[in-house]
Amino acid sequence: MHEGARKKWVVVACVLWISFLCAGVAATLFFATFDPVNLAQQATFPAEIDRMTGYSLGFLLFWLLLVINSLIILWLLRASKF
Amino acid sequence: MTITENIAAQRSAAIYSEKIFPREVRGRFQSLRSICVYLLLGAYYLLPWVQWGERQAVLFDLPARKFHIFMLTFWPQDFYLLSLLLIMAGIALFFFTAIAGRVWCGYACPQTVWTEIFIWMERWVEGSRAQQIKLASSPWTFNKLRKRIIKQVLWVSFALLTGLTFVGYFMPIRQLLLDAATFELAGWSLFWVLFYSFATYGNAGFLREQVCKYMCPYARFQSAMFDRDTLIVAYDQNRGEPRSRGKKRKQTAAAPKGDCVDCGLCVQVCPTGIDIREGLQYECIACAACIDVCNNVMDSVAQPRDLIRYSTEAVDSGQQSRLPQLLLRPRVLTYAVILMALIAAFGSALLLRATMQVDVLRDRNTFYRMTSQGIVENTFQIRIMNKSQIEQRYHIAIHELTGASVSWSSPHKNIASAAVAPGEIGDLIATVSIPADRLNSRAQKISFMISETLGPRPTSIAEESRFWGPTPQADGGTR
Repeated sequence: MHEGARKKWVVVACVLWISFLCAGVAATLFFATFDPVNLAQQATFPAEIDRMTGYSLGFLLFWLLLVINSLIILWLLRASKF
Repeated sequence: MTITENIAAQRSAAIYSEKIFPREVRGRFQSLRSICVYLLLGAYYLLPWVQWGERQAVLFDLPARKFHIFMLTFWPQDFYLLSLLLIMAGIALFFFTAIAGRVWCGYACPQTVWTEIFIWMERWVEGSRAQQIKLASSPWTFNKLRKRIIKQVLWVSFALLTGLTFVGYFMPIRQLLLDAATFELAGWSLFWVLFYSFATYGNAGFLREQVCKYMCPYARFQSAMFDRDTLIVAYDQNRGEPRSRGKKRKQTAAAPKGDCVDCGLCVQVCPTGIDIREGLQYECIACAACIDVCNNVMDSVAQPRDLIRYSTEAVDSGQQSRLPQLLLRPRVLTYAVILMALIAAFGSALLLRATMQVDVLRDRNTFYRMTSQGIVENTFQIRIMNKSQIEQRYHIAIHELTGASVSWSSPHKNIASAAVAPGEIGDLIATVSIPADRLNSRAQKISFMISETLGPRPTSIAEESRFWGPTPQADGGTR
């Protein structure tokens, strides 16, 4: 693997891994405070979800948001002229 | 190519490369690391199988929003305890880092421990470092294919076992294994088993030291906890240099030379592919493989051991090392004091943890009800969370509203005490009544006293609410 490709993979791995850790903290804090079943009842659209689905989707959503956030920041920094 | 150039090439290859083939090594510290692998992984794989009474001893029962850890049950309300525990773990990490450097990385980090066991499996199948390098560069023969398939089967099975065990901390593992064995695992449990297996395989089989080098925040900031007296793995520059080897060593017999025979083994055994002789580097996970291998080499050339050893910056610059100097440092003491305070806070919070929690909600539909006998009634929803391990019965009383009486009206009328099963939430209803002429304002403060009636130390909780009635008349009657 040449150097450039490798660096890209390192960036992807770092973004995924750090977002994963932060999503874990965020999901723990969030679901210790709110019960996904109660949240589903309050939804503005009919949402029938059990707790495992709530936790899993919540975690994955946090993760996805953090990954998007990190990638946009990286892209902005790279594309900037300081 | 000289050995030094060879090492340099290997090193730069390691940075952008492909794969590091750490050489196998025996020695004091590697035995210690193996013991850590057995202890930690043993605990990880066996703990979910331990039973405590009727239930799994350690079960983070997410679907029921309850964490069981042996005799303790934690609720979402006890979350602050978990936070305290995590903060304690963080400070403990700082504490041990200040004293002994990266012992966490070398001996206890899941990344290191799982990587170690994946490397063992690789060695069983593919043999020593030299054999592995040969196999990697050889064309695809039947033998290579066979070895690679066996290795992958071992790795994938072990990763699946790891994933299954991980999910077994969150749902009963016996049922989980039964479902897995009968291929009935589905939905989120299947997803998380596969997810964690994949993560294990990726981190321990594929990424390995790259996690420490590129992805781990601790590896980057641990140096902030270091000072001159922190233990590090270090090469004794004064003793080792100038290094020389083989023929050159003999030819220049007259020239001064250090003890380092430049065999390059310290680089070959390094799981992160660095050369410890270049000084402290952030890639070093303090696994001490280079210490063990160098000691073996020093033994074989009849030189004293510890050319590479656990040392401190202070010792390296010629100071004497004394135990008080290692332990009684402001940095270590500060971390120790914070840690002790947190342990004390955690311990007392755990001991003083309430066995119940009460929420009082007013009936939202009607403010009050007036009976034909001139009695004003309010109903209240009382939610009692029984955090104890026994079925508890609760008594309700009233304060701050003279002349009023209270009784449970649900689950049954006129019961002296209401029962709630252990670890459950009871949704109860209480009715408060008072003769209308005893009221002196439209809304009055009312205080409930909910008391446990069973157990060794029954406790009580007071909860306030408001009691509503008709506007009292000046003559004492009501309108």
